[in-house]
Amino acid sequence: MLTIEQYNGIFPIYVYMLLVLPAVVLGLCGRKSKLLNLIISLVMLALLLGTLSLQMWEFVIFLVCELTLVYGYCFARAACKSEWLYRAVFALSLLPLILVKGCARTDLGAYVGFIGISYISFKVWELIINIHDERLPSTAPIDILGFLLFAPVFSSGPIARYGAFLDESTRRISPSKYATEYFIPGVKKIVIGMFYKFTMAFLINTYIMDGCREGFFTDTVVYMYAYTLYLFFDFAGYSLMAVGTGYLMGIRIGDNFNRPFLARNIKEFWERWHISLSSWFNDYLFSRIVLSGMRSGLFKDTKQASRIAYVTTMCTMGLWHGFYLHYILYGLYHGILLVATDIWVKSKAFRSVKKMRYYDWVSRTICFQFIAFGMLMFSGFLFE
Amino acid sequence: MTENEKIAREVLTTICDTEEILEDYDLDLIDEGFIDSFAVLNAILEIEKRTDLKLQATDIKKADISSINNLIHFLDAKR
Repeated sequence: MLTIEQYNGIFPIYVYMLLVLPAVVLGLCGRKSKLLNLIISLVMLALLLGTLSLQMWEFVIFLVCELTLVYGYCFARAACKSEWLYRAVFALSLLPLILVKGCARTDLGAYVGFIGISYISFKVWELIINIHDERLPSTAPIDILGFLLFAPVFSSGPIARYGAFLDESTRRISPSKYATEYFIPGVKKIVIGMFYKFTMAFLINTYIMDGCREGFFTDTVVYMYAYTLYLFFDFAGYSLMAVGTGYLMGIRIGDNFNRPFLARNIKEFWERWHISLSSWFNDYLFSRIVLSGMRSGLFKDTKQASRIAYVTTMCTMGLWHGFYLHYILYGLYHGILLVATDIWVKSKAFRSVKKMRYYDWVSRTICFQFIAFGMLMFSGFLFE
Repeated sequence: MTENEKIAREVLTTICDTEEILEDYDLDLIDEGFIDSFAVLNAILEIEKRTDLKLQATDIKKADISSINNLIHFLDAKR
């Protein structure tokens, strides 16, 4: 059967535009339907995974298991406040992704897992953490399913957040507001995204990266810069198309990139690059390590706490990409850079350097070199 | 002075490390460079020391601690 990979060409985008048409018509009439959005998502997912494919079966089994876990924990949490129960539930929810990432390195890799498992896992974890914190705003199946299955961002993010998603899907908007704040920005994002991915990323990949040979110094340097730009245009383009499609369905999701190469240090870089991923890790891992470590007296001050949390968080982020040495090194590299940045911006030298005339552009140029070297590690080019 | 006002003053003078900020309850502490995203975590720890609130990073935004008045409103709403 015909399957459609998300946003990888003009044809998939044409099909998606046809599919969201009913939601656009409804939006222009000043209405929004959670059920319609769920149905559109289901059709998109069937086109992405195939209807009777192995991937689809694995996805359905995954979904049933995770929903059982989420609702089971919801029910149990009311009666039992045990932290051990929370840890057990959380560990269970990690299991499928660990299994898939583990199998990716073996012959089973071609059979185990489905597109988007890395991203849907974040949503499941967010639900479980919020059930534990007793902060889940709704447990209605239409909301939970609508959130987990929201197809425009299914295969590679951005990672939607339940609270914000719920606000968007519940909020009623007038036809004129839909036209000016959803439809027009949505279309703009899709058009810019297409230009990024199909023109810029394509050209860089075809005319620069394809010609680079491994093991040669100059080729490696060229590849490093080319890949950095390629990854930005490819991923930011993809993200813009995904976010834009969400807008057309009446759901605004935050942008995933904000001119990342203008960052003046690595901390700022992570506020601008793959924002949905870094803010997820910030809210649910980094902050929690700092807070729980400080409350329990494990760390002596917040400075020490933040530095340990930076390295732990970035290494986890590296592992999430896959169980490969180059991803782990990439995480460690960024963890160490964040600690170094933290020391640098708190130093006396920084305060005087900051006042200098060309500070912004000099620091951007230097920061870009660190970013590019990180991308070279991430690409795996050095390890082939 | 209400209890929340007292707590807001204490928490923010601790984080900003200066009593200057007490002069203007609407002074934007983000603009003034006193508050960054990490300050939110310090604010949580300081608030928890002084109240029985149990907070998570996702409960409080940078805007909630961007001025003494904003923090008073936040505490009024939470307690």
